[in-house]
Amino acid sequence: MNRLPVEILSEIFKSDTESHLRCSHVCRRWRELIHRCSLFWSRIELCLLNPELDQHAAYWLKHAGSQPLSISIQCNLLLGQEDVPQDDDYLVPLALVLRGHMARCEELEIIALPPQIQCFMNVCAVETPLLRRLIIRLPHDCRNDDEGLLFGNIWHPPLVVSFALPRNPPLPPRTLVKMDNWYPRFLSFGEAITELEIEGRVTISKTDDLLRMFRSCPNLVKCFLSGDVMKQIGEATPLAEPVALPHLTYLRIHYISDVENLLDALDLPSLQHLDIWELEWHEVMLGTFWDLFRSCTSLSSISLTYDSYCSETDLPDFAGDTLHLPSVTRFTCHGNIIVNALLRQLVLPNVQELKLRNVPSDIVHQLVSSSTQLCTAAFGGTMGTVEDPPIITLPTLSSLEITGTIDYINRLHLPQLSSLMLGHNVMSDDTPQLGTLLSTFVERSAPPLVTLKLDHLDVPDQPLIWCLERLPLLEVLSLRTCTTTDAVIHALSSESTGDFIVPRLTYFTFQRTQITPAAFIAFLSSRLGRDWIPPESAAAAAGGAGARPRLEGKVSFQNGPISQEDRATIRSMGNFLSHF
Amino acid sequence: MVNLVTSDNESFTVEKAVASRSVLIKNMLEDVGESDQPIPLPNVTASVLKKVLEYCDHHKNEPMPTSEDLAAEDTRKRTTDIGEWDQKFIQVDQEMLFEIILAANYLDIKPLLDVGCKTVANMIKGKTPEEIRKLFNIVNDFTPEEEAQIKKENEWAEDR
Repeated sequence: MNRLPVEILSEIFKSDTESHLRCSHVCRRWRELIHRCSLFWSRIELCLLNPELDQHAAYWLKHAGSQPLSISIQCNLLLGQEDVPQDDDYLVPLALVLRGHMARCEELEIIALPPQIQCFMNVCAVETPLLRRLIIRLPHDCRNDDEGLLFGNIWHPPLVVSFALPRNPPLPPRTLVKMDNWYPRFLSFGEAITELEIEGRVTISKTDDLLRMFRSCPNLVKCFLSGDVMKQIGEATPLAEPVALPHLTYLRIHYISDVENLLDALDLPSLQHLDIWELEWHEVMLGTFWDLFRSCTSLSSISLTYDSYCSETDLPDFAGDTLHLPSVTRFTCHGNIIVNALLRQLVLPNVQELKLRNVPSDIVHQLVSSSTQLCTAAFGGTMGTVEDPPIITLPTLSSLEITGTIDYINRLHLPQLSSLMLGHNVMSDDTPQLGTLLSTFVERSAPPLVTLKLDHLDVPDQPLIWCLERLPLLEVLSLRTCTTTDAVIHALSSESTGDFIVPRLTYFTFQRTQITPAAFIAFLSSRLGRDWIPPESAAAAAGGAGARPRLEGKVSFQNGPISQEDRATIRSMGNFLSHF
Repeated sequence: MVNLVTSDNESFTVEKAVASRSVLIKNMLEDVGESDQPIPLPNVTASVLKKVLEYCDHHKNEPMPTSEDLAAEDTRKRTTDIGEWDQKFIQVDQEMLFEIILAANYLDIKPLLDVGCKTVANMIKGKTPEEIRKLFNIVNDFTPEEEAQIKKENEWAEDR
């Protein structure tokens, strides 16, 4: 080791920069080498409980030379801990040391209590032209402050991020800011921010505060705002100027139940992705979303989902014109009496992915009728009674999931469907009868199904066997909590005219069905049969001419525990037994 | 074919593609042109060259790292991950490991030098300074003042 020249030693240390401090304590030669290399000192990790915090920082900064800096300041406090140092003791001296070097700080992470963070910001109110990543969090144990120990019951001020940008030369905005439990307001540094993530588990402030925050970062491209569903942000000050975010393309807002107060005050001409999660629907929101959809002509993805609380039960008085949204390609919505009134007015001619829950079947029918490029659809929850609307042909639909109102499939002709899932709405007590629904559909559309999943359904054997005989491309078959008996598995096990039905089957799930271990063992023996390639020879199977596709899957039995002998037999054939 | 002669006067005849994994030899061959003249390698012994050529032979069909690759490596965060074959190849005693590193450096075979440096870095990882000294037979030659400063650095590190 002692013969290695310094340039090789340096390469060794650079391979694992996290060990550099320990390496510098080995011998004088190593120490001198590491102290001469500024790269090792550019990441500075500081603990707010260290009484020599400022000396620690100064020591690192001296060695870091002119390297761009990554600074992490952590305060590993427990909520309610008593021997917390006063901010002025440690933090102000630290901030005074760091402020002269903030101009070359690329990453800054502070995990501390709000007063400490604000104190640091106030002292370090300097230019930060290189800052690309700013993360501000509460100590882990303080994040779920349900008792209000941090903020009490008084409304607290925003965190003023007092960093600034140099005026010359102007810099392209490209900074990510992540914060939790506190909302910020930015000075000129706000112009550098393109991505903003705020998780406000404790509080997300009021609408006016959020508008001020948005106004202070006009170059936002992506924004994620998460509040607390039990708290509301309230109305904006009357006649407040709307806030324009001309570059914002992506907006996610979770857990702000009266989100309309914020959306009404934003001007988002470039918005492409809108994701609203957990809101409380009121009639006034119809106007909010109507105006938003109409004004955001670039919107391509809309998601208005869980849990769409709706406090009103009367049909809202909303009868706008039909609203065409030709740029929307993905649309997900959980319906209720209010949102359904909005959906009734929408036309999505170019939607490719449509996911609807608790939307009446007539609205579903209207939306799919107007689409010409639908590829993926999922309908769940309560769809009401399927009357007798005309059967629609959807020539591009390749994947369909219906949970609950499965008879809706009889209103569709899907000649290119390759994946079908029919299932039960878990909120309903009735187990839907599949009856001849599937066979009628297969007869009508002759779909090239590759995947068929039936979940929580009363599935009669003979119509299912009839369907399987007509699905030669099927590779994945899943029967979960269905009334399927051994008759189906016998049909899958027996060869007629030289081959099995469903000859391409490579993956199965038989869980909580009426299938018995004996029938399943016969199925495995037959399907694995003479051409079966053991799992350990999977590589050989890939190249083996004429070899059958490898069969994988999971099974569980409903009728009592499986005997030790059957368990051993199944295990000898592969890893098929489900843990559930 | 290329004829290489080691410091202990042993000759190795290898394919040009294998020898050219060494930038030093590749440049020599380009300078000399087509020639039967043996290439002397006064800083490498036969046992080490045999091992180095085993590495070069295994990797002979891989693209040589470009100057852009090397520049990019300087800026991105490095890892101590080593490929499976290379890990087995470098399972040698400590003396041979350092000889391979020195030879890779002399012959200018950057990927082999990386494997060697990462292997040493992995040996260091997680060990205390005392354990590192013991592992590599290094003498603690710090002055009392330096020891005091080290103690302070350790206290800062423990607070994190």
